[in-house]
Amino acid sequence: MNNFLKQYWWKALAIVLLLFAIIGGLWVPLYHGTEDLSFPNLAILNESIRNLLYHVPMWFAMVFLLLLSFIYSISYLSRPTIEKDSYAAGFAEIGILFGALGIFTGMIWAKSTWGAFWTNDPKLNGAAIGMLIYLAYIILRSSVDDEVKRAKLAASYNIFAFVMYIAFIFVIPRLTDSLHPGNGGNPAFSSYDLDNTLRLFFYPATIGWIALSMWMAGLWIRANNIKRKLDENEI
Amino acid sequence: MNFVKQVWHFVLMELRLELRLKYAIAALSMYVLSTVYLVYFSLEYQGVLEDMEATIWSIFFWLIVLFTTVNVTFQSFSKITQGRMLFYYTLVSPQVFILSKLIVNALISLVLSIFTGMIFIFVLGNPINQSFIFLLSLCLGTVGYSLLFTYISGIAAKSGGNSALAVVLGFPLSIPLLSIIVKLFGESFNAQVGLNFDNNLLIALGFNLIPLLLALILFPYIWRD
Amino acid sequence: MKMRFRLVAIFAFIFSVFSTSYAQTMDNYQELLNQTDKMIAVILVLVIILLGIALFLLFLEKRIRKLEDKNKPIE
Repeated sequence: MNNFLKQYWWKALAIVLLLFAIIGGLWVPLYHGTEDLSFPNLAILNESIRNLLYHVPMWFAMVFLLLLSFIYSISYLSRPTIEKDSYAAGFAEIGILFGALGIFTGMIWAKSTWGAFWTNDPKLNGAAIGMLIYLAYIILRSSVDDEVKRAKLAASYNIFAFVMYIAFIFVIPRLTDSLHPGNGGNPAFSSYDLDNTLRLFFYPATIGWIALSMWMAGLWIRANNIKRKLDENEI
Repeated sequence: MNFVKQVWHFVLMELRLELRLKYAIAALSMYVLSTVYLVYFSLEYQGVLEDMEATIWSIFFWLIVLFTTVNVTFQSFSKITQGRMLFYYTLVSPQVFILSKLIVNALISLVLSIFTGMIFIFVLGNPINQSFIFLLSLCLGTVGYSLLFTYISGIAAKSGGNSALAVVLGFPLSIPLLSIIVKLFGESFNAQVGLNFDNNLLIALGFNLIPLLLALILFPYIWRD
Repeated sequence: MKMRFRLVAIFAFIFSVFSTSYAQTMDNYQELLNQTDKMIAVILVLVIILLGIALFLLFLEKRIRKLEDKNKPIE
């Protein structure tokens, strides 16, 4: 992982893909009957369908980072090294950042389609709870001074929280109606109404955002590692 | 067999210790009593007690149960002294320790929440139509909370924090169970159970099992300092 | 402290990407789209912001790499 974080090719790929998604996502017109290359023109969504290239990939990036954090926590408990702990913490922190971005983009989208920034939607609440859980994780980390103890407790909380959270995310939306596509008789975006044009931009955007989030998380983790080493040397 | 026996003896010992400290149980009962009266007077003062909706009843009930459970579980860890912990290290395996903690805490919080329910019925009136559903959801909810918060309190106590840390760590995780349990609990006010009852029951059971399994798997890693 | 400031800066950058793109979707987007000149301006701004983020991250990458190399012998 350490070597992977230092490589350049996927960072360049991230920027290229995101450039492609941003330019293309705004350039391509909606379907009005004549265009060859167009996005689907859906009733309520209208032009805001372009948010699909931001909102959804950001959630994917968050889930991806939190998953990495979870994996590093497991691997810490089975074979403790302080590096694994800093990986778990860094991925979780940048994961929260992308979660917040996902919430912001979602709120703006909700305002223009559902009429309110916040609706009582199980997925929204799930997202909010997820943010709370991981903020609690950060508070737990900051409340313990001893490095080894902190790593141990944080890892065990992280595993506990992630499993509970995933169970929640998968179960709860099935209980009540959701305004989100594909639930409760909403016009399905199922398979995202992804017509091929949208897909052409959606997949690059997903990979691009995930890679960008990895880049940021990598920098954050490496900076923290350097800081820790400098502190140790001082002592 | 040996494992079960060990857990059994450990549970008995814990219960005996718990009962010997009469003030602890008395304090928790007082905690429940005074909170219920706090709720009673605030509702009475607002004049909403006469035609109070059952949902308000259930909201207050579950909040009180939640806070009582946090107190029960947190004190079960925070009162363990360093010396006693060393004694436990030599005596039992971590699984036995956490399992018996889970059982004891579940029992105590169950007793306390049934006590809370009884006072609620006396003081705030009885909106319950199906007492079986009421008891079932009360058991599932209280046990689920105590399982969750026992593990969280273990973490909070190990980190040297106070019970506020247990609240911060546990409340976000308790929301899923809460949302299901309130749904189940609400069914007991109606004449008949709703459509999704079985489904919700299974999910509530699942949210009881997940913390139990995770606590058993994860606790051995954190129990030694 | 400085690190934290930078993180906030990254956050602000990315957020501004959205706020600009949504300001456009709100009203008269259709017209805007037709007047292609203005569309180009919007896209240009977004691209510049993205490139700004990329350059900033690259700058951080370089500095961190330097620090990592410097700290290696001490290990």
